[in-house]
Amino acid sequence: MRLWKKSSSSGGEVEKEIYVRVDDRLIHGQVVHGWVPHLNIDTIVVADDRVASDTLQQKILSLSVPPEIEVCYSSVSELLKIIPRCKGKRILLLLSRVGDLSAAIRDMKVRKINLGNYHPSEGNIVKLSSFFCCTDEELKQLKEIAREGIDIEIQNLPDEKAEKIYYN
Amino acid sequence: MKFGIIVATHGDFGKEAVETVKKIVGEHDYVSYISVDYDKNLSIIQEEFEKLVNKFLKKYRHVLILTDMFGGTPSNISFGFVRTEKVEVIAGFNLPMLIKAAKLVGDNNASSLNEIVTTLAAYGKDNIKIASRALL
Repeated sequence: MRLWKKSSSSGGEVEKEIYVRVDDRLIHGQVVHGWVPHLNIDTIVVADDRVASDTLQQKILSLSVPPEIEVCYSSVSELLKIIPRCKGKRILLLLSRVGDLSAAIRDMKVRKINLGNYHPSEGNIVKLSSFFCCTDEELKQLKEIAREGIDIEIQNLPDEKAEKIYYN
Repeated sequence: MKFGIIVATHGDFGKEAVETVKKIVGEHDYVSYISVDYDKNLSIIQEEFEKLVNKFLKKYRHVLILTDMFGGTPSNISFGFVRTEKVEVIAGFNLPMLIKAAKLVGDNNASSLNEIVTTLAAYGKDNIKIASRALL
C-alpha cells in the first residue's frame, strides 16, 4: 500500500510497508481479528500522546494481540524515531485522532488511509457513516490530505465496502 | 450486600444476558449492564462506565465487571478499573458464569472478591461442553 524507506546504518535499505488507520478505540476486536490478519501485519504501532504516557493502558491494549505480533507505543511527535526501530516489515499504524494524521504521516510515503470508529465529543460534527463522524475542521484536514493524492477510505472491516473521501 | 455486578458487552448482548439471569435467579438490583455500540463516542462510553462503577461502589464494597471478549472495547475500558482494588474484571463471561455470580454475590456469607473471581472463571470454563463428549 505504501512504502517507508530508510537507509540503515549498514548501508542497506530497509523497506517497510505501513498501513494507516484512524480508530478512536485503537487496538480492539475489529483490528485484531479483522485488519491484522487481512493485511498480514507483523507490527502494530500506536501513535497516541495519551496512551504513550499511560503504561497500564498500553498493557490493556496489548493483552489481546497474538504474541507473534509486535506492539509499539509512541507519542505522535516521536513516531518517526520509533518506526525505523520496528523489526517488522508490515506495520499497522493506529491513531486515535484525525488531528494527528498530518503530523504522523508527514515524512512517510502513504498512499492510503483507512478510517474506522470515530466519534468526536465536541465541535460541529459531520456524520459520514454510522461509525465515522468528524468535525468540520477535521473534514477539512482530511480533504487537505486527499488533495495530496492520498486515498482516504471509510471502512470499518476488511470485507466491507469502502467509502472514499474526495478533496473537492 | 458486598458485591455489585456489571455486565459490559458489545451491543445489547449483556442486557439480554442480565434479563435472562433475572428470570432464572430472580430480580436483583445488584446486577446491571452497559451496552457498548460502535456508533457511540468513546468518552461518553467511558463516562457511562465511570458513573455506574462509582454508583455501585457507593452501594457495594466491591464491583465485579464481566465482559464479553478479552481485547474488545468493553473489556479494554473495564480493565482500566483495576487501578482500584475494589474492582475486578473477568473477560469472556458466559451465562452459567453470570448465573453463578448472581447467586454467589447474593449470598451474605460471600467470600472475598479474589476467591469469587477464581471460582467464577473456573466455573465458566467448566460449563463449556461438547455434546458428543459429554454424552457418548
